[in-house]
Amino acid sequence: MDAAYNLARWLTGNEPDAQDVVQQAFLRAFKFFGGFRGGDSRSWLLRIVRNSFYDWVGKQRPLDTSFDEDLHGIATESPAPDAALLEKADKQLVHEAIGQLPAEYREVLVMRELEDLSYKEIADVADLPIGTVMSRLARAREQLRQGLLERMRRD
Amino acid sequence: MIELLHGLLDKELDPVRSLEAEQHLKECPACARRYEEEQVLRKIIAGGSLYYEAPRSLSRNVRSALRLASRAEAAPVSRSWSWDLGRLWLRARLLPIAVAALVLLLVLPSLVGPSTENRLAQEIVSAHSRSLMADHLTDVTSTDQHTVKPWFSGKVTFSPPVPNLSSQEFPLIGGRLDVLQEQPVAAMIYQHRKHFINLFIWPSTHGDSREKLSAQRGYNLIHWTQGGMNCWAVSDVNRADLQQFAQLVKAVLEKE
Repeated sequence: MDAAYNLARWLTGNEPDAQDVVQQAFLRAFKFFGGFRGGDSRSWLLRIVRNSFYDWVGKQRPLDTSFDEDLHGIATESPAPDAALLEKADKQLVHEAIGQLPAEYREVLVMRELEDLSYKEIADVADLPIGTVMSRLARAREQLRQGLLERMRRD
Repeated sequence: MIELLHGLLDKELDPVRSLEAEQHLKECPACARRYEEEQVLRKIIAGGSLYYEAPRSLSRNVRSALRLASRAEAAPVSRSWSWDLGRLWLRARLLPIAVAALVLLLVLPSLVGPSTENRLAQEIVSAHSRSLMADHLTDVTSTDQHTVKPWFSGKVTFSPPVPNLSSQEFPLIGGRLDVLQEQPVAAMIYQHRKHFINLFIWPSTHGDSREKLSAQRGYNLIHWTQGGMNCWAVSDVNRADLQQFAQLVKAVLEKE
């Protein structure tokens, strides 16, 4: 239940919507209970939570543009940021910076760092090839790092 | 290359590529610096208590939504006389069972076929509650790590690290010999405000792993593998405090 809520909460960005998404997910899980083929019930549920979220987003924003991997590429050379500066980032800042990431990055990051899922498990949940999980994660962290450093330099 | 660094960071590379990436880190200062930053970043995320736990109301809401849904499915069926009566009976009977099964499977996964890890967690929670119950918290009572550590020699076949965390609000209370999975383990007892934390340590055959949080019978657990040792901490302190405790222990073990 915590895993489902955590993912939904990070995807929707607020509590009431996260509750809705989780509730929808459980209703779906109930409906498609027959589709459960054993195995890891957490991955199965997270997958449904994720699908429920994207359906919910679809309803909220019907003209959502599809995600373009190239547009969100990794900048090859970043200005020398330092580890010492990053160490000073506080929870609030990290929270904001993750919240700013596109949902496609946010979800892999949350599943990896907070749920501690393996690449294989994330690939199953998000229906992506493992290679894409690895590259999205790399880009997610890159963008998060940039975002954090920008915020910290601004302050 | 940058993607490989992340694979390395997540311990997801096969041995060949892993060696390749490590070799590259030695040769390329830019990537090495980047790798270090990524490690810092991960630590910030892990230590930032960014995990959202489900609000209490959610579990209740989900259960009532599921009940409603099962009734809604059963209702039109029962009004339709054209339905085969046998099937109707079956559906009406089976739906609540399906709901119950789903709730069991998803809300209480610990009840359905506990994994090895889960069984170990149960054993650890039992050991923890036993230690508090039977006035047998410590075999050796001392706040001095240099008393506790030598006490273990001759009792276990390894030398457990005994971190001293008194300056970080986790004073050492003492040590105890315990048995988990039929082997002797070292238990160190720490106090945090009015709560006790049992830290179990014994040798592991696995490589290092990141800390994993879980909960069982109202206790929080966190476990990881580091430097060839299994480490499990269990307590009734909240998740964030236990996580902080684990981070402190890890930092001490790193230096050993």
